[in-house]
Amino acid sequence: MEPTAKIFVRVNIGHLGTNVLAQVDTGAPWSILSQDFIQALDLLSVADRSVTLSTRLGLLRGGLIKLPVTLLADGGRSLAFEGTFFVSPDWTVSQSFLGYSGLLDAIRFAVDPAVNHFYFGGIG
Amino acid sequence: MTLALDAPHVDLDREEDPRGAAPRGPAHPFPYSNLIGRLIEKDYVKAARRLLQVASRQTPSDPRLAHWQLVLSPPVVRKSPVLDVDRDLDYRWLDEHSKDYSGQWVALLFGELVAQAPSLKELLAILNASPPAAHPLAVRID
Repeated sequence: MEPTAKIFVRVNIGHLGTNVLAQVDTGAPWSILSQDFIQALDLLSVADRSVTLSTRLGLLRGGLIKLPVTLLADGGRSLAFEGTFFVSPDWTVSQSFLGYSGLLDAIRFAVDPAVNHFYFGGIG
Repeated sequence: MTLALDAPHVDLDREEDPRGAAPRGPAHPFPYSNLIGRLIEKDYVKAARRLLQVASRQTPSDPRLAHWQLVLSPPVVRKSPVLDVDRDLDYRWLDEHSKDYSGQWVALLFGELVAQAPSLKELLAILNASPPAAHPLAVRID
């Protein structure tokens, strides 16, 4: 499905009635949600615009919020936690990203590109 | 960085009242919240967390710190018994049919299209009205 060199994982965000694909981005300081998620979860009404973060679209004003996330496994155990996401009305990229702070830094993970597997587990 | 972390100790030195009364606080609260925001904007997240710990001890009643405590607190990760279903058939569907659904959100389950809509919000409305047997995989086709 994805011909480029990107890592997607399956997640459930905000207890939505559907699972989605999100791109793993260890180089991003924060996770960020696409406008589709912002609208579906009505997040602009709860997120302030208290920080300006540097993104691939330049400096964007928005807010940090916590949302329930389940990192979905199809073998072993899934992981559930509240991850921190950056929400901005000016983020126009259609993809959602799982970034480092408040999400990837809370788990252990490894990639086996030869078999297209993403391994993950809790810390401790 | 060093300045931001050292500054609170400089500004918040409190003088003990020689009569034994409660220590006097600063005339104006130290702008911890603003500093924490600046550290976040510079991607110094660990430093922001450390400063938040100091700020929470020094000015525990500052309502602006509550927001930072919420979003900067490390997640509590739990194992979940919820497992996703095998998606090989869904990925195959995407390989074969994506080109026909450009700009749409599609919901797939066991290799079949169960819903489509121009937005995730509309897709969820369709799924909520007629829930499938398991959570489908929702994908936006670019």
